[in-house]
Amino acid sequence: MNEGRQAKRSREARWFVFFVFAWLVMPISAEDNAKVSEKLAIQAEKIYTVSRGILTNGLILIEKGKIVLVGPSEKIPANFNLIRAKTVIPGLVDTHTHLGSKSDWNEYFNKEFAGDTNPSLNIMDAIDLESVDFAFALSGGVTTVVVTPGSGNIICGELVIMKTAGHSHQARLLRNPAGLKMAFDLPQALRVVSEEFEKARKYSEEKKKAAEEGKGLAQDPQMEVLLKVLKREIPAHIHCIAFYAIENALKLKKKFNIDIILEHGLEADKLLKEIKEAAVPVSFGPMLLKQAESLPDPIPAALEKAGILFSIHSDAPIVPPNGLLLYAAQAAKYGLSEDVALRAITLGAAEILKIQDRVGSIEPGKDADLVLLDGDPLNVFTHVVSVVLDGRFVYREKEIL
Amino acid sequence: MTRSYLKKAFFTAFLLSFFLNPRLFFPGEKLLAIRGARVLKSDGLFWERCQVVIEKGIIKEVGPEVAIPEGAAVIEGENKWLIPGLMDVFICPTTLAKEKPEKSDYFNPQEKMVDVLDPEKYSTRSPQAWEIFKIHQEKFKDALKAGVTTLLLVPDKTRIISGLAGIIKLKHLFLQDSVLSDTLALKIGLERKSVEGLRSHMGVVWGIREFFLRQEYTSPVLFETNNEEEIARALSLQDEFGLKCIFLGKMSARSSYGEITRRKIPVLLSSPALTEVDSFVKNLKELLNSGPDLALFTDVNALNPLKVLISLTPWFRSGGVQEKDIYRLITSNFARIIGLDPRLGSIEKGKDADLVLLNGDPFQPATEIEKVFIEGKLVFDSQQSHSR
Repeated sequence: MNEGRQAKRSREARWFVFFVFAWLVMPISAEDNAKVSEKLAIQAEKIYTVSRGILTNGLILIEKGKIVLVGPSEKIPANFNLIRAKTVIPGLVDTHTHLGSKSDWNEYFNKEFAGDTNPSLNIMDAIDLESVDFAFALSGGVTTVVVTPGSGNIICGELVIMKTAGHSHQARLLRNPAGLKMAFDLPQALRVVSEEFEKARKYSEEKKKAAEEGKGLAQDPQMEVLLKVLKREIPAHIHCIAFYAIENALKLKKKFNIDIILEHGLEADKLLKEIKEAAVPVSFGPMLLKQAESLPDPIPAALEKAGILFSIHSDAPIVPPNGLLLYAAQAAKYGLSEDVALRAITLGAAEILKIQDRVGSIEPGKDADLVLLDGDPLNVFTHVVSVVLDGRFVYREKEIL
Repeated sequence: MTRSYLKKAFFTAFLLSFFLNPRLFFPGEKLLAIRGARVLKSDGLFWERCQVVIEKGIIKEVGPEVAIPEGAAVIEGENKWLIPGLMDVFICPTTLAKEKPEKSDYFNPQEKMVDVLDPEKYSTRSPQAWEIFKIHQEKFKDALKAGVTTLLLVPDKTRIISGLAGIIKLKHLFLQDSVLSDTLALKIGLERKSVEGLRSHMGVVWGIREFFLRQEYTSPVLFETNNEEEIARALSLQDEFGLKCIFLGKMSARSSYGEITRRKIPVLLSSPALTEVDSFVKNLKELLNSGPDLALFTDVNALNPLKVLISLTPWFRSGGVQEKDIYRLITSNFARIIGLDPRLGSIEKGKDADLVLLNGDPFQPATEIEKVFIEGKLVFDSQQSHSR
C-alpha cells in the first residue's frame, strides 16, 4: 500500500520534472531554429570558391540568405550557428532541364505543334512545383535550373530560370522570361525563323509609325516576344544536335545580330573555329548518351582547348538531374581540366545565363546556395551531404558532420 | 345570328371572370407567421421560441419578442427548427457542337447556363436534349424537397472557356422570372484537351491569354481549381489581366490558401468523394482558419447539402469543425459570394422569405424537412406529399 503510493508520487514527480524541463527548453529551441535560418557559419576543410580557387580550413558566414564573408577560419562571431563540413562547393547550375513540366515535355506535346512557331507559349504555365523532380535535382546539389519547353516546334516558347526549392512560384523565380527556345533540327528552321524575325521588324516599324502619328496599334504578343530577342533583351536558346543545325544557328546570329546560346551542341567538335569566332556560348549535354555522330564525352575537353565558354547540362529527364557532378567528372576523365569541369556546372553556367551576380561561386554578396560534400567534388564516390539554398537547409542526406 | 350571340356571351363571361377575381378585391396578400420555432441566426447560432412574420414574400419581423399580428395565418413551429433556404451549385452538362472539334470550339463565352430553364433553347442543342431537360426538372424538384431554394448554375469542364454561370431560384421551374442573374461569372477550366493546340498546359493557358488579350474583361471569372498547378495558373492569370476571380473546386493545395486570402478571392469548396474525406476536412479547417470568403457545395450534383454534410459529421467532430461554421458555409457565406447577401442567406428583417422548416435538428439523420417556402409561398409540404 505504502509502496504503491510512493511509486505513484515518484511517477508524478517525474512528470512534474518533465513538464518543467519541457517548459524551460521549448522556447529556447524555437529561438534557436529561428537563428539557424537567419545566421549560419560553415567551417570546412576545403572550400571550392570557383572564382578564387580552393580555400583550406575556411569559414563562410551567411546572413539573411546571402553570403557575407568568405575567409580563413578565425573566431566565429556570436549568434552564428556553427556547422562543420568537409568540402563545400557552390550550388550547381543546370542550364537545360525540363523539370516539373513532364506533362508538357513528353512526346505527344512534341507532336502537337510540330514544325510550328509559338513564341508566346511560356513554360511557367506548365511547371508543377509539387513535382518530385525538383527534390531529385536537389539531391545532386543542383540549386538553380533553366526549365525549357520541349523541342517539338521550331520556336518552342519562353523559358525560365528558377531555384529548385521555395514555397511559391514567385519565391523560386530568378528570371521569367529568361530566353526563347528554338529547335533547329528541321532543315527549314532557319528560313522559318528568319521570316518570323522579318515580320517582327516590320511590326516594330509599324508600331513606331503609329506612335508618331498618335495612333495606338493593337499589341501582337507573338511579335512582342520576338522583338525582345531582336532588341537583345533575352537570348535565343537554340537546340542544335547535328553540325548543320549549329551552322544554321550561327547564320541566324550573324543575320539578325542577336544573342544566342547553343543547346546540346553534340557535334560542336566539328565547328570549333566557327563557334569561337562568333563568340557563342555552348550549353553542352547530355553526357553519357550517344545521340549524334560523335561521342559526347571528349567534346568538353575540345571546347576548353578552343577557348569557348561552355556549361554542362543534364537535359533531365533524358539523363537524371542529380548526376551533374558525375557528368562533369566524366568530361574530366576525357581530358577536361578539373577546375574547368567544376566551373562548367557552376560559375561558367551562371555566366552563360548572365546570373553570375546571384549564383555560381562562393563570394560575399551572392546567394547562399551551397552544397556540402564528404569528399572531392569530382570523385564519383563523394556524397552530397546537405544542400543550403538561400541560407536554409533544403536537403540533408544524413545528419550534419 | 345565334353564333354571334354565343360569342358575346363568352366574351362577357370572360371579362366578368376577370372582375370577379377575389385577388382584385383583396390585393394585399395575407400575413404569414411562424410561431415558436428555433430560428437560425446569421452567426450560425439559434434563437429559441422565435416568431417570424412574413409579408408579400419578405420577412417583416423576426425575433423572440415579436407579437403575431391579428389576421395572420399562423404555422405552429413548436419544437421545430427553421433555417434559411439552402444554396448549392448545379454543374450543367454542356456538349461540343461538332463531332470533330477544333481549338476554337473549346472557347464559348456566350452560352448562358440559365437556359436550362428554357425548353426551346435547350431542345435545339441536340436530339437528346429534351430528355436531359426533363431530367434536370426532376433534379430541381428533388433539390427543393431537400431544402435547396437557390442554385448556382455552372457549366461543366467539357470546354475551357465554357459559358456564363447564372443563379436561379427554384420558384417556377419553366419561367425566366426565377432567374436572379444570368451573367454572374465566366467559367474557365484549366484542363488539357485532346485537340491540337490544347494538348499541353502551355497551350491551354495561351488560349485563355489570347481570349483576354483580345478584349477588356471586367466581369468576374469563375476558375475551376482542383490542385496546386491549377491554382498557380489561375493566380498568374489574375496578376496578368487584373481579373475578378472566384475559385471553385477541390482546392487541394493548402500552401496556397494564404495567398488566396491575401487577394480576397472567394472560394466555393466542393464536397469530397468518400476516399478524400480526411484531406477535405483538413483543407476545410485550414481554409476556415486562413479566412477567405468560403462556401460549400455538393459535388456530382447531389443537390442535397444537408444529407451530404450529415454523412460527414463524424469527420467534422474529429477534425474540430463546428456546426455553426457549416451553417454559414451553405447559407450566408454562399449568398455573399454570389453577391446576393442583401436578399438571401439568412433569416433577417427585409430579406426574402426563403425558409425551410424541419421537425428536428438539421444535423440529425432522422430529421425530416416538413415545409419549404420560397418568397413566402409554400412550395413543398411533406404532409401533402407533393410539391405545388
